[in-house]
Amino acid sequence: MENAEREVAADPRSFLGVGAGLRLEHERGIFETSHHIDWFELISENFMDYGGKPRRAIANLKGKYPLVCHGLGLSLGSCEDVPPDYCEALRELLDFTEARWFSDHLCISSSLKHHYHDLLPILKTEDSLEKTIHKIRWIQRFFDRPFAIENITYYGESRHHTMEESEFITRLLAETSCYLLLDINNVYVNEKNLGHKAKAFLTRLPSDRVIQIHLAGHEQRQDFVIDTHGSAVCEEVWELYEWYLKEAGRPINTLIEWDNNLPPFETLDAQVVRAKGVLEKLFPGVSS
Amino acid sequence: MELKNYLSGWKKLLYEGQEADLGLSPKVSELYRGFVRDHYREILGKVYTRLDECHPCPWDEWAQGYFREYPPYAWELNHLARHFPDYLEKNRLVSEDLVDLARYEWGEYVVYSHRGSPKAWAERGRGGQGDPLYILNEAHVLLELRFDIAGWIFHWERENGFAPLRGRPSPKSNILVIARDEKTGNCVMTLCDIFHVALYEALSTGPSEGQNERTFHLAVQKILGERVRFTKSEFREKIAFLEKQSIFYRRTP
Repeated sequence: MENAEREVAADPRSFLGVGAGLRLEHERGIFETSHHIDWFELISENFMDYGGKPRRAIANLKGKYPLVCHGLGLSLGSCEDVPPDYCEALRELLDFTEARWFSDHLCISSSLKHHYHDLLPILKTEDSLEKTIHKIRWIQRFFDRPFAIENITYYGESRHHTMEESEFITRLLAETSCYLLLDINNVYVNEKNLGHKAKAFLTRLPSDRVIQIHLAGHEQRQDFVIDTHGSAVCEEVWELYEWYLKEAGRPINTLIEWDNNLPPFETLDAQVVRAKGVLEKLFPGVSS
Repeated sequence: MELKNYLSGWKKLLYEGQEADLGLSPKVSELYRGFVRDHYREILGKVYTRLDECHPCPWDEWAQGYFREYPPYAWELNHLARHFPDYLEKNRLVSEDLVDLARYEWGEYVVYSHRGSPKAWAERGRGGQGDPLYILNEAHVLLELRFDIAGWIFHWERENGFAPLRGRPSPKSNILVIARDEKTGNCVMTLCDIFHVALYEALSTGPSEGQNERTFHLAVQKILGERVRFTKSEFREKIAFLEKQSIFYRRTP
């Protein structure tokens, strides 16, 4: 519990504003234009163990903007150890970026020595919960930095689950003292794909543990809504975002994720401005 | 269901291509299978862009075959593309010149992304008594190619900018070093002659304590043997060229 107490005391939830995912293609826009982005999130694996231009981009941002790291390699839902070279590279990146916190998805991304590079659904059972708690505690001890888990999208519900996702997440948060990176778009996508009611799901999560919100675009492909991060945030997700902030009763660090079909920098900035507008409407003066 | 069985199920489904009891509908299982394979397709297209430009590549088919022969062993997504030139050559999917092009493109990626030796870079131009004089830039690769890939790309881009690559390279055995200029982050190409290769070999064995220009010259000469000799001024000229090409850093004792 020593680590957990230290984390909560550090309170990384202090409001940073609205951020955007760092893309090297947007480097000129970041440094050469006037924009509204308050902080940046790096996809950890795109910068871990990299030198050259990617590393220099971080060096240029450091000190000017708060940075956080967001990865997909810890594979929280598989019971195996994280590869040591991965841990060392991530720890080095977190130190180099002076990351306020780091996060990963509540998913399986590798198992049995195979790396799938995708977000596969965890098994929601008592056995799996216990092992995930154990793994997150290890991660918290090893990295000694505030850590958050992100809810993912699902395209089907396994009949092997024995508990709801909201229960799995809530118990995980209670047992580990890590934070929640709440992806509002994923909640919306799950409502579309599985019929889970988005607002009911959000109400069941402990809002005081939400350190960050993700907003992103998705697309309809045949029978599924796919979380693609390749377009603007849709109106329904904006509405859900506003509703959730009102429910939470406090401004929450918000990040626009746009990883594919990258738009001009101004388009990304316009999404940031829109998120700031929502925050300002609910919490006047928060953006200034 | 026990977690270990669930995890084995994913491996069976995604890697071994077998049906697995994950409690999901076949349609959903197929969707996840497609996601994982699409990563291979995307990453191959991203790393081997020039190959894609100058040859009609059946990427989906290749990506599936490559996935089966070289399963996803690395946590770094781009590293999955590492063995693709070997896969192309082994299965005779393209002609030799295009295998060389693929090796070149992988080399470029490795150098672009290499962690490098920032400490050595920061310390260039500085050094104390006994420090090695020359330090090899870690952000480099040496390629032995059968075709003049660098010349082909260089001439094409000079005349056509970044238009899609066309034509074919001339057959010409060559040793090419791609190194990263730490100042700009750009890749620098060097077609090596016999002197360059000897200098490179001497640097690759690691810097020795107390190294100076004379001892380094002797080390290079030893690699070249008796039949090829070069003078002190030729040596200095070669050294200056390789330094300019970012293949090593020099310290001033």
